[in-house]
Amino acid sequence: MNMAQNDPTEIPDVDAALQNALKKSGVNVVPPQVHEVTQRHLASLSKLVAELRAAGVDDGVVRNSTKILLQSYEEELLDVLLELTGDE
Amino acid sequence: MTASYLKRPKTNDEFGRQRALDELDILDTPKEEEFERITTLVKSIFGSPVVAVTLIDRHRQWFKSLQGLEVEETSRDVAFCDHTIREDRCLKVEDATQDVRFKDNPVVTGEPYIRAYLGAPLVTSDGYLLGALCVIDFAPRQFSTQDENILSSFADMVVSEMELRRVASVDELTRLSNRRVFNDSLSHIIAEGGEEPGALIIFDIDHFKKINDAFGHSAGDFVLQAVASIMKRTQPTDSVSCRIGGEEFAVVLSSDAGIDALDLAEKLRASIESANLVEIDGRQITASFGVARLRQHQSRQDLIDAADAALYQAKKAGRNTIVSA
Repeated sequence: MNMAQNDPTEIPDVDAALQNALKKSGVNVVPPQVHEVTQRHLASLSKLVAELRAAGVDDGVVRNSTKILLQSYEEELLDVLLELTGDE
Repeated sequence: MTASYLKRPKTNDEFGRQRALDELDILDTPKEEEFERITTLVKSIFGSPVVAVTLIDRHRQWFKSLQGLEVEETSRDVAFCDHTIREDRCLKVEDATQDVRFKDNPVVTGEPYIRAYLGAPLVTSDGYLLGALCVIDFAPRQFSTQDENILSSFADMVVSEMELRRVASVDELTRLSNRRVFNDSLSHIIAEGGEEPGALIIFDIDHFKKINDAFGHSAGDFVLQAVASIMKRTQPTDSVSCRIGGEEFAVVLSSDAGIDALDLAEKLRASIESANLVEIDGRQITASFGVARLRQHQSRQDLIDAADAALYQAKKAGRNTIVSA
Protein backbone atom coordinates (compact mmCIF):
# COMPACT_ATOMS: atom_id res chain seq x y z
CA MET A 1 0.00 0.00 0.00
CA ASN A 2 1.68 3.18 -1.18
CA MET A 3 0.19 5.75 1.10
CA ALA A 4 2.66 8.42 -0.01
CA GLN A 5 1.05 8.60 -3.44
CA ASN A 6 -2.55 8.42 -2.29
CA ASP A 7 -4.80 11.40 -1.87
CA PRO A 8 -4.70 11.85 1.92
CA THR A 9 -8.49 12.07 1.98
CA GLU A 10 -8.92 8.74 0.19
CA ILE A 11 -9.13 5.48 2.07
CA PRO A 12 -6.30 3.26 0.74
CA ASP A 13 -7.28 0.22 -1.31
CA VAL A 14 -5.83 -2.22 1.17
CA ASP A 15 -7.58 -5.15 -0.50
CA ALA A 16 -5.74 -4.61 -3.76
CA ALA A 17 -2.48 -3.98 -1.95
CA LEU A 18 -2.74 -7.21 -0.02
CA GLN A 19 -3.71 -9.23 -3.11
CA ASN A 20 -0.67 -7.87 -4.92
CA ALA A 21 1.57 -8.70 -2.00
CA LEU A 22 0.26 -12.27 -1.90
CA LYS A 23 0.79 -12.75 -5.63
CA LYS A 24 4.37 -11.57 -5.29
CA SER A 25 4.85 -14.24 -2.65
CA GLY A 26 3.53 -16.92 -5.01
CA VAL A 27 0.04 -17.27 -3.59
CA ASN A 28 -2.49 -16.99 -6.42
CA VAL A 29 -5.46 -18.85 -4.99
CA VAL A 30 -7.09 -17.83 -1.74
CA PRO A 31 -9.30 -20.56 -0.25
CA PRO A 32 -12.86 -19.24 0.22
CA GLN A 33 -12.89 -19.61 3.98
CA VAL A 34 -9.73 -17.55 4.21
CA HIS A 35 -11.03 -14.98 1.76
CA GLU A 36 -14.11 -14.38 3.91
CA VAL A 37 -12.07 -13.81 7.06
CA THR A 38 -9.60 -11.61 5.24
CA GLN A 39 -12.31 -9.46 3.70
CA ARG A 40 -13.68 -8.75 7.16
CA HIS A 41 -10.25 -7.86 8.43
CA LEU A 42 -9.63 -5.48 5.56
CA ALA A 43 -13.03 -3.88 6.06
CA SER A 44 -12.16 -3.32 9.73
CA LEU A 45 -8.80 -1.86 8.80
CA SER A 46 -10.37 0.54 6.30
CA LYS A 47 -12.92 1.57 8.92
CA LEU A 48 -10.17 2.13 11.46
CA VAL A 49 -8.26 4.37 9.09
CA ALA A 50 -11.42 6.42 8.50
CA GLU A 51 -12.15 6.63 12.24
CA LEU A 52 -8.61 7.74 13.08
CA ARG A 53 -8.72 10.43 10.44
CA ALA A 54 -12.16 11.59 11.55
CA ALA A 55 -10.78 11.87 15.08
CA GLY A 56 -8.03 14.14 13.81
CA VAL A 57 -5.21 11.73 14.55
CA ASP A 58 -2.00 12.80 12.88
CA ASP A 59 -1.58 11.36 9.38
CA GLY A 60 1.84 10.04 10.27
CA VAL A 61 0.36 8.08 13.17
CA VAL A 62 -2.45 6.77 10.97
CA ARG A 63 0.02 5.71 8.29
CA ASN A 64 2.34 4.03 10.78
CA SER A 65 -0.50 2.26 12.55
CA THR A 66 -1.97 0.99 9.30
CA LYS A 67 1.39 -0.19 8.09
CA ILE A 68 2.04 -2.11 11.31
CA LEU A 69 -1.38 -3.75 11.30
CA LEU A 70 -1.24 -4.61 7.62
CA GLN A 71 2.24 -6.08 7.78
CA SER A 72 1.35 -8.09 10.85
CA TYR A 73 -1.75 -9.53 9.21
CA GLU A 74 0.05 -10.17 5.92
CA GLU A 75 2.65 -12.31 7.70
CA GLU A 76 -0.01 -14.36 9.45
CA LEU A 77 -2.08 -14.65 6.29
CA LEU A 78 0.88 -15.85 4.23
CA ASP A 79 1.65 -18.52 6.81
CA VAL A 80 -1.97 -19.66 6.73
CA LEU A 81 -2.21 -19.70 2.95
CA LEU A 82 1.06 -21.50 2.44
CA GLU A 83 -0.01 -24.04 5.03
CA LEU A 84 -3.45 -24.62 3.52
CA THR A 85 -2.41 -24.69 -0.11
CA GLY A 86 0.53 -26.89 0.73
CA ASP A 87 -1.85 -29.70 1.73
CA GLU A 88 -3.54 -29.82 -1.73
CA MET B 1 -23.53 -4.08 51.96
CA THR B 2 -24.83 -5.04 48.55
CA ALA B 3 -22.02 -6.40 46.43
CA SER B 4 -23.35 -4.89 43.19
CA TYR B 5 -20.34 -6.04 41.24
CA LEU B 6 -21.32 -9.65 41.88
CA LYS B 7 -24.57 -9.43 39.92
CA ARG B 8 -23.98 -11.30 36.69
CA PRO B 9 -27.03 -12.11 34.66
CA LYS B 10 -26.45 -14.78 32.05
CA THR B 11 -26.02 -13.62 28.46
CA ASN B 12 -28.62 -14.95 26.09
CA ASP B 13 -26.54 -17.89 24.96
CA GLU B 14 -23.75 -18.41 27.47
CA PHE B 15 -23.32 -22.03 26.39
CA GLY B 16 -22.88 -21.03 22.75
CA ARG B 17 -20.61 -18.16 23.70
CA GLN B 18 -18.40 -20.46 25.74
CA ARG B 19 -18.30 -23.04 22.99
CA ALA B 20 -17.30 -20.38 20.46
CA LEU B 21 -14.48 -19.35 22.79
CA ASP B 22 -13.35 -22.94 23.29
CA GLU B 23 -13.32 -23.53 19.54
CA LEU B 24 -10.89 -20.68 19.02
CA ASP B 25 -8.41 -22.67 21.08
CA ILE B 26 -6.77 -19.51 22.35
CA LEU B 27 -7.17 -19.66 26.12
CA ASP B 28 -3.92 -20.18 28.03
CA THR B 29 -1.81 -19.75 24.89
CA PRO B 30 1.40 -17.71 25.13
CA LYS B 31 1.62 -14.03 24.36
CA GLU B 32 1.80 -13.40 20.62
CA GLU B 33 3.29 -10.52 18.72
CA GLU B 34 0.20 -9.94 16.57
CA PHE B 35 -1.92 -9.10 19.61
CA GLU B 36 0.88 -7.28 21.41
CA ARG B 37 1.20 -4.99 18.40
CA ILE B 38 -2.49 -4.14 18.56
CA THR B 39 -2.49 -3.38 22.29
CA THR B 40 0.72 -1.36 21.93
CA LEU B 41 -0.88 0.72 19.18
CA VAL B 42 -4.07 1.22 21.18
CA LYS B 43 -2.03 2.26 24.23
CA SER B 44 -0.18 4.79 22.15
CA ILE B 45 -3.30 6.21 20.50
CA PHE B 46 -5.33 6.45 23.71
CA GLY B 47 -2.45 7.42 25.97
CA SER B 48 -3.80 5.08 28.63
CA PRO B 49 -1.63 3.20 31.15
CA VAL B 50 -3.39 -0.13 30.64
CA VAL B 51 -4.73 -1.87 27.54
CA ALA B 52 -5.91 -5.46 27.38
CA VAL B 53 -7.33 -8.13 25.11
CA THR B 54 -9.52 -9.98 27.59
CA LEU B 55 -11.37 -13.25 27.11
CA ILE B 56 -14.19 -14.13 29.47
CA ASP B 57 -14.02 -17.80 30.38
CA ARG B 58 -16.47 -19.70 32.58
CA HIS B 59 -15.19 -18.40 35.91
CA ARG B 60 -12.34 -16.08 35.00
CA GLN B 61 -11.15 -13.35 32.74
CA TRP B 62 -7.95 -14.26 30.99
CA PHE B 63 -5.67 -11.82 29.22
CA LYS B 64 -4.37 -12.69 25.79
CA SER B 65 -2.49 -9.42 25.79
CA LEU B 66 -2.06 -6.99 28.64
CA GLN B 67 -0.01 -3.81 28.63
CA GLY B 68 0.56 -1.96 31.87
CA LEU B 69 -0.27 -4.62 34.47
CA GLU B 70 1.41 -7.85 35.48
CA VAL B 71 -1.37 -10.40 35.83
CA GLU B 72 -2.50 -13.36 33.75
CA GLU B 73 -6.09 -13.74 34.86
CA THR B 74 -8.59 -12.68 37.48
CA SER B 75 -11.90 -13.95 38.76
CA ARG B 76 -14.79 -13.24 36.42
CA ASP B 77 -16.63 -11.61 39.33
CA VAL B 78 -14.37 -8.54 39.27
CA ALA B 79 -14.11 -8.24 35.48
CA PHE B 80 -15.35 -5.00 33.93
CA CYS B 81 -15.16 -6.84 30.62
CA ASP B 82 -17.79 -9.27 31.87
CA HIS B 83 -20.17 -6.32 31.79
CA THR B 84 -18.96 -5.33 28.32
CA ILE B 85 -19.99 -8.68 26.84
CA ARG B 86 -23.57 -8.30 28.05
CA GLU B 87 -24.35 -5.87 25.23
CA ASP B 88 -23.12 -5.54 21.70
CA ARG B 89 -21.63 -2.08 22.19
CA CYS B 90 -18.85 -0.34 24.06
CA LEU B 91 -18.97 -0.05 27.81
CA LYS B 92 -17.87 3.35 29.04
CA VAL B 93 -17.04 3.97 32.69
CA GLU B 94 -15.62 7.44 33.22
CA ASP B 95 -15.34 7.26 37.01
CA ALA B 96 -15.76 3.84 38.54
CA THR B 97 -16.09 5.27 42.07
CA GLN B 98 -19.30 6.96 40.98
CA ASP B 99 -20.73 3.98 39.13
CA VAL B 100 -23.07 1.80 41.19
CA ARG B 101 -22.00 -1.27 39.19
CA PHE B 102 -18.33 -0.91 40.06
CA LYS B 103 -17.84 1.33 43.09
CA ASP B 104 -17.57 -1.67 45.45
CA ASN B 105 -15.47 -3.75 43.06
CA PRO B 106 -12.20 -4.86 44.71
CA VAL B 107 -10.14 -3.65 41.73
CA VAL B 108 -11.65 -0.19 42.27
CA THR B 109 -11.48 -0.06 46.07
CA GLY B 110 -8.08 -1.75 46.04
CA GLU B 111 -5.17 -2.51 43.72
CA PRO B 112 -4.89 -1.45 40.95
CA TYR B 113 -7.53 1.23 41.76
CA ILE B 114 -9.21 1.36 38.39
CA ARG B 115 -11.05 4.59 37.74
CA ALA B 116 -11.82 4.78 34.03
CA TYR B 117 -12.64 2.01 31.56
CA LEU B 118 -13.60 1.82 27.93
CA GLY B 119 -14.25 -1.67 26.55
CA ALA B 120 -15.22 -2.72 23.03
CA PRO B 121 -16.64 -6.24 22.84
CA LEU B 122 -14.88 -8.90 20.79
CA VAL B 123 -17.69 -10.18 18.59
CA THR B 124 -17.22 -13.23 16.37
CA SER B 125 -18.70 -13.51 12.91
CA ASP B 126 -21.36 -15.74 14.49
CA GLY B 127 -22.29 -13.00 16.91
CA TYR B 128 -20.77 -14.39 20.10
CA LEU B 129 -19.18 -11.96 22.52
CA LEU B 130 -15.94 -13.52 23.69
CA GLY B 131 -14.43 -10.73 25.73
CA ALA B 132 -13.23 -7.20 25.16
CA LEU B 133 -10.48 -4.94 24.00
CA CYS B 134 -10.27 -2.34 26.73
CA VAL B 135 -8.39 0.71 27.85
CA ILE B 136 -8.08 1.43 31.55
CA ASP B 137 -6.98 4.47 33.47
CA PHE B 138 -6.17 5.11 37.10
CA ALA B 139 -7.77 8.54 36.99
CA PRO B 140 -11.27 9.44 35.87
CA ARG B 141 -11.45 10.43 32.23
CA GLN B 142 -13.98 11.09 29.56
CA PHE B 143 -14.33 9.04 26.41
CA SER B 144 -15.86 10.36 23.22
CA THR B 145 -17.97 8.60 20.62
CA GLN B 146 -14.92 8.70 18.36
CA ASP B 147 -12.92 6.89 21.04
CA GLU B 148 -15.61 4.19 21.08
CA ASN B 149 -15.57 3.89 17.29
CA ILE B 150 -11.78 3.63 17.13
CA LEU B 151 -11.63 1.04 19.88
CA SER B 152 -14.44 -0.95 18.23
CA SER B 153 -12.48 -1.06 14.96
CA PHE B 154 -9.40 -2.30 16.77
CA ALA B 155 -11.57 -4.90 18.52
CA ASP B 156 -12.83 -6.13 15.14
CA MET B 157 -9.24 -6.60 14.04
CA VAL B 158 -8.43 -8.60 17.16
CA VAL B 159 -11.32 -10.94 16.40
CA SER B 160 -10.38 -11.38 12.76
CA GLU B 161 -6.81 -12.27 13.79
CA MET B 162 -8.30 -14.97 16.03
CA GLU B 163 -10.64 -16.19 13.32
CA LEU B 164 -7.88 -16.37 10.74
CA ARG B 165 -5.96 -18.69 13.02
CA ARG B 166 -9.06 -20.74 13.51
CA VAL B 167 -9.53 -21.16 9.77
CA ALA B 168 -5.94 -22.32 9.49
CA SER B 169 -6.39 -24.87 12.25
CA VAL B 170 -9.65 -26.49 11.36
CA ASP B 171 -10.52 -29.30 8.96
CA GLU B 172 -13.29 -27.84 6.87
CA LEU B 173 -15.50 -30.94 6.65
CA THR B 174 -15.43 -32.16 10.23
CA ARG B 175 -14.50 -28.94 12.08
CA LEU B 176 -11.91 -30.93 14.01
CA SER B 177 -8.39 -29.62 14.33
CA ASN B 178 -6.26 -30.30 11.28
CA ARG B 179 -2.81 -31.76 10.74
CA ARG B 180 -1.12 -28.47 11.55
CA VAL B 181 -2.63 -28.49 15.05
CA PHE B 182 -1.94 -32.23 15.36
CA ASN B 183 1.78 -31.65 14.81
CA ASP B 184 1.85 -28.65 17.15
CA SER B 185 0.03 -30.63 19.85
CA LEU B 186 2.49 -33.49 19.64
CA SER B 187 5.37 -31.06 19.96
CA HIS B 188 3.64 -29.59 22.98
CA ILE B 189 3.24 -32.87 24.87
CA ILE B 190 6.83 -33.80 24.10
CA ALA B 191 7.99 -30.45 25.46
CA GLU B 192 5.81 -30.54 28.59
CA GLY B 193 7.32 -33.79 29.92
CA GLY B 194 6.01 -34.62 33.37
CA GLU B 195 5.70 -37.78 35.42
CA GLU B 196 2.57 -38.88 33.62
CA PRO B 197 3.49 -38.44 29.97
CA GLY B 198 1.01 -37.75 27.23
CA ALA B 199 -0.28 -40.22 24.70
CA LEU B 200 -1.43 -40.52 21.12
CA ILE B 201 -4.44 -42.38 19.74
CA ILE B 202 -4.67 -42.88 15.99
CA PHE B 203 -7.67 -44.58 14.46
CA ASP B 204 -9.32 -44.99 11.15
CA ILE B 205 -12.69 -46.12 9.92
CA ASP B 206 -12.81 -49.75 8.84
CA HIS B 207 -13.67 -50.40 5.18
CA PHE B 208 -14.24 -46.71 4.54
CA LYS B 209 -13.65 -47.06 0.81
CA LYS B 210 -16.61 -49.45 0.62
CA ILE B 211 -18.89 -46.74 2.04
CA ASN B 212 -17.93 -44.32 -0.71
CA ASP B 213 -18.16 -47.05 -3.36
CA ALA B 214 -21.56 -48.28 -2.18
CA PHE B 215 -23.27 -45.03 -1.24
CA GLY B 216 -21.24 -42.20 -2.74
CA HIS B 217 -19.03 -39.53 -1.25
CA SER B 218 -21.89 -37.72 0.46
CA ALA B 219 -22.44 -40.78 2.62
CA GLY B 220 -18.73 -40.96 3.28
CA ASP B 221 -18.72 -37.31 4.35
CA PHE B 222 -21.69 -37.97 6.62
CA VAL B 223 -19.82 -40.79 8.35
CA LEU B 224 -16.71 -38.63 8.80
CA GLN B 225 -18.77 -35.85 10.33
CA ALA B 226 -20.61 -38.28 12.60
CA VAL B 227 -17.32 -39.72 13.85
CA ALA B 228 -16.08 -36.19 14.45
CA SER B 229 -19.18 -35.46 16.53
CA ILE B 230 -18.49 -38.52 18.64
CA MET B 231 -14.93 -37.37 19.16
CA LYS B 232 -16.06 -33.90 20.25
CA ARG B 233 -18.60 -35.36 22.69
CA THR B 234 -16.04 -37.64 24.31
CA GLN B 235 -13.06 -35.29 24.16
CA PRO B 236 -11.48 -34.87 27.60
CA THR B 237 -9.92 -31.61 28.72
CA ASP B 238 -6.27 -31.10 27.86
CA SER B 239 -6.57 -33.11 24.68
CA VAL B 240 -6.93 -32.31 21.00
CA SER B 241 -9.09 -34.18 18.49
CA CYS B 242 -7.86 -34.06 14.91
CA ARG B 243 -8.58 -35.31 11.44
CA ILE B 244 -5.17 -36.19 10.00
CA GLY B 245 -6.09 -37.99 6.80
CA GLY B 246 -9.00 -39.01 4.60
CA GLU B 247 -10.59 -41.35 7.11
CA GLU B 248 -7.87 -41.13 9.75
CA PHE B 249 -8.28 -39.41 13.07
CA ALA B 250 -6.14 -38.78 16.11
CA VAL B 251 -6.46 -37.71 19.70
CA VAL B 252 -3.45 -36.15 21.39
CA LEU B 253 -3.64 -36.36 25.17
CA SER B 254 -1.48 -34.21 27.40
CA SER B 255 -0.30 -35.38 30.78
CA ASP B 256 -3.23 -33.52 32.40
CA ALA B 257 -5.93 -35.14 30.30
CA GLY B 258 -7.30 -37.04 33.28
CA ILE B 259 -8.22 -40.17 31.38
CA ASP B 260 -6.14 -43.13 30.35
CA ALA B 261 -5.57 -43.31 26.59
CA LEU B 262 -6.74 -46.93 26.36
CA ASP B 263 -9.95 -46.08 28.22
CA LEU B 264 -10.63 -43.21 25.86
CA ALA B 265 -9.89 -45.36 22.82
CA GLU B 266 -12.36 -47.98 24.04
CA LYS B 267 -14.98 -45.28 24.66
CA LEU B 268 -14.54 -44.04 21.10
CA ARG B 269 -14.53 -47.53 19.62
CA ALA B 270 -17.72 -48.52 21.41
CA SER B 271 -19.46 -45.23 20.56
CA ILE B 272 -18.65 -45.55 16.85
CA GLU B 273 -19.78 -49.17 16.76
CA SER B 274 -23.07 -48.42 18.49
CA ALA B 275 -23.79 -45.25 16.51
CA ASN B 276 -25.71 -47.10 13.75
CA LEU B 277 -24.30 -44.85 11.08
CA VAL B 278 -24.27 -46.93 7.92
CA GLU B 279 -24.43 -50.66 7.39
CA ILE B 280 -21.81 -52.26 5.14
CA ASP B 281 -21.96 -55.96 4.27
CA GLY B 282 -24.48 -56.44 7.06
CA ARG B 283 -22.26 -54.84 9.69
CA GLN B 284 -22.17 -51.50 11.44
CA ILE B 285 -19.39 -49.00 10.86
CA THR B 286 -16.43 -49.63 13.14
CA ALA B 287 -12.94 -48.25 13.64
CA SER B 288 -9.55 -49.68 14.52
CA PHE B 289 -7.24 -48.03 17.02
CA GLY B 290 -3.53 -47.74 17.75
CA VAL B 291 -2.46 -46.23 21.07
CA ALA B 292 1.03 -45.13 22.02
CA ARG B 293 2.15 -43.55 25.28
CA LEU B 294 4.94 -41.04 25.02
CA ARG B 295 8.26 -42.46 26.12
CA GLN B 296 11.34 -40.58 27.18
CA HIS B 297 13.44 -39.15 24.35
CA GLN B 298 10.86 -40.06 21.76
CA SER B 299 10.55 -37.69 18.82
CA ARG B 300 7.26 -36.67 17.31
CA GLN B 301 7.77 -39.06 14.43
CA ASP B 302 8.71 -41.90 16.79
CA LEU B 303 5.39 -41.46 18.60
CA ILE B 304 3.40 -41.32 15.36
CA ASP B 305 5.20 -44.42 14.05
CA ALA B 306 4.47 -46.29 17.28
CA ALA B 307 0.76 -45.45 17.15
CA ASP B 308 0.64 -46.27 13.43
CA ALA B 309 2.29 -49.64 13.98
CA ALA B 310 -0.23 -50.42 16.71
CA LEU B 311 -3.07 -49.40 14.38
CA TYR B 312 -1.70 -51.74 11.72
CA GLN B 313 -1.74 -54.59 14.24
CA ALA B 314 -5.34 -53.76 15.10
CA LYS B 315 -6.29 -54.07 11.44
CA LYS B 316 -4.47 -57.40 11.16
CA ALA B 317 -6.23 -58.64 14.28
CA GLY B 318 -9.59 -58.28 12.59
CA ARG B 319 -10.44 -54.59 12.99
CA ASN B 320 -12.82 -52.95 15.47
CA THR B 321 -10.19 -53.35 18.12
CA ILE B 322 -7.50 -51.48 19.99
CA VAL B 323 -3.81 -52.28 20.14
CA SER B 324 -1.39 -50.50 22.43
CA ALA B 325 2.22 -49.99 21.33
